Amino acid sequence: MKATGNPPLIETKNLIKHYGDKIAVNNVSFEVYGGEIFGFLGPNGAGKTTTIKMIIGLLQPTAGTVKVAGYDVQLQPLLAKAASGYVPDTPNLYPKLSGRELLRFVGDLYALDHNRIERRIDELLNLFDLYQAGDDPIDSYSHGMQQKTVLAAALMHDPRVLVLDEPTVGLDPRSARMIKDILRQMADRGAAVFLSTHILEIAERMCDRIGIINTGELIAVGTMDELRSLGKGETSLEDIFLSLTGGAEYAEIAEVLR
Amino acid sequence: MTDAALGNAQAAGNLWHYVGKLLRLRWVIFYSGFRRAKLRGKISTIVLGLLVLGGLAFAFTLSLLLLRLLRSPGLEQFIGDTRLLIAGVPVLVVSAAFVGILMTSFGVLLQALYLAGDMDFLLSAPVPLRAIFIAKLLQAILPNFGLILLFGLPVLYGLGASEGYNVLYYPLVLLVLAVLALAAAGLASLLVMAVVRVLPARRVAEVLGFFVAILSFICSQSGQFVRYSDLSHDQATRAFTLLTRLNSPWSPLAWAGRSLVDIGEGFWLSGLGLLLLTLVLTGGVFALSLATAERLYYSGWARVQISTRKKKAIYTRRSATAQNRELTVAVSRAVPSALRAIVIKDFLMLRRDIRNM
Repeated sequence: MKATGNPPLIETKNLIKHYGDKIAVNNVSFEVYGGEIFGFLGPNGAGKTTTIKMIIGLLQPTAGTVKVAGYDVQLQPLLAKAASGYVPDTPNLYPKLSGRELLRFVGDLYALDHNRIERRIDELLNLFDLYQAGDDPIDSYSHGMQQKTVLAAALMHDPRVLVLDEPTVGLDPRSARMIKDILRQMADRGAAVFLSTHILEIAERMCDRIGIINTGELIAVGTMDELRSLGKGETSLEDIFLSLTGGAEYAEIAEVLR
Repeated sequence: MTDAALGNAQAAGNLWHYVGKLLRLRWVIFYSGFRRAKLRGKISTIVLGLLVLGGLAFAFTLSLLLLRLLRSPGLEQFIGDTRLLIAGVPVLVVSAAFVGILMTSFGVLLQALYLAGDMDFLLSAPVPLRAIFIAKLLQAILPNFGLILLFGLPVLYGLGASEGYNVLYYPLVLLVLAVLALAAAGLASLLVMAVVRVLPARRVAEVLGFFVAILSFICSQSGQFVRYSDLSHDQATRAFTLLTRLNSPWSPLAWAGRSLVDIGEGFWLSGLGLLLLTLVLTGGVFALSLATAERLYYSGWARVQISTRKKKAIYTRRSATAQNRELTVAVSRAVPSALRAIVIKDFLMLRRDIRNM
């Protein structure tokens, strides 16, 4: 248990995923506690999405265990999924449904009662500024509105664990800020928020702890201060990230291109 | 989520309950699309519905004419004993249904499993994996199954009525067609996953669309050139013999059709035996396909592509580069670089498209 007293809501132990000879994720172990926002960083192809898919129960690990809200994702998948919400990087929704109909369908999937579904739909549509467009088909929504609809769908059952894959990609600053505020509120209410992002500034400002994955291995986990102590005197997350993932040599390439 | 809600999710976790929810979603999507469509779209949908009803009436008429033809003394003189041919009709219909659903559900399953993009959304919800796959398979076969029933049922029921088959024959026709459709959809799902491991799903969909269009064109045009009046006695006999060959005792598809005929004629032992064999075989194929598809999808292998191209040896590229250098220099002098770049880009894309076909 963490010092704050909150229990871990996501626990991965020695998580491994192989595709034949290719090792996508290698021996990854970490915990995310209730009340914290955990940022998951890594270069392209480092194993971020594979790890997320194993946490959310979309992929079976080759070895190791994942627990969400105390439930083993392999052994108790329905309970683990009922406790979590997932926001994928691309909002693939049902374009012919309206936002309201989609949320009603999600509420039905999560076995919420009818009155609660209708109340929750109104709350979420208001919260995400989608009330006016709630009865319009999703294919008429902008990218930002679709992204907000996906997030509303993930929050429909008030999950204890929220997993987001690149949640702010393609959003205008106002929508991005709104999502950041909502995630912070979720964490303040005791939920565990796990997000992957390429935007290091978001990770640095939003996340309580950060994990960095490279070539399938978790190479660093900790608060910003703990990560600074791992580096060679770097102070910004960008410098620490490049130093740990071996991307610092690109600065030399940039010099040559000048 | 509260513990009570978690309990609800768990308690409500029976398979068919969720299959029902997922299929209801398809209805909601259809109804929403219809409700929001422009007047022209609504009229088109209604006209399509009326055309389907017209097709049903046409299929009934056609089946009556066909049965009359099969029982006509003229045909008996022309091809000999027609009893074998009549007994082969159910085999022909169920075989056509199986092959038809296998082929048509390939495209629908490709769309449902890979291109619809809702798999991750559904798999991350507290819904049993099996319910999602069953819903996807049913979604793939239901429209095609409807079409098969549209054309197959009038023929099979007409046959039953004209031959005075047992009353049990009629519900069993539906059961046999349904289990064959499920087995065909199961096999199609495995085929889709195998193909998508080699080629990107979108490319497969494009190539499939191209081939279906070409095939439809060839079928529609070839009908214009056939002269049925020139059909000789020999050719007709050979064609009918070919149809009766489908009724081979070693063909699993024939077992299904023969079971219906035997039950209809009151040969209970052979009829029920063949029916049981059909149910076990199709049930086994469906269960195996479902379990394999789930496993492949969950383990991630269904979404991993394998490279079928071997890397060229380095020396080949080097020697080719040396040989082409002079030619490249000459071309670059004659053709502006922007034009050259566009032509090369188009050529590379064309080469890739042909290779992927």
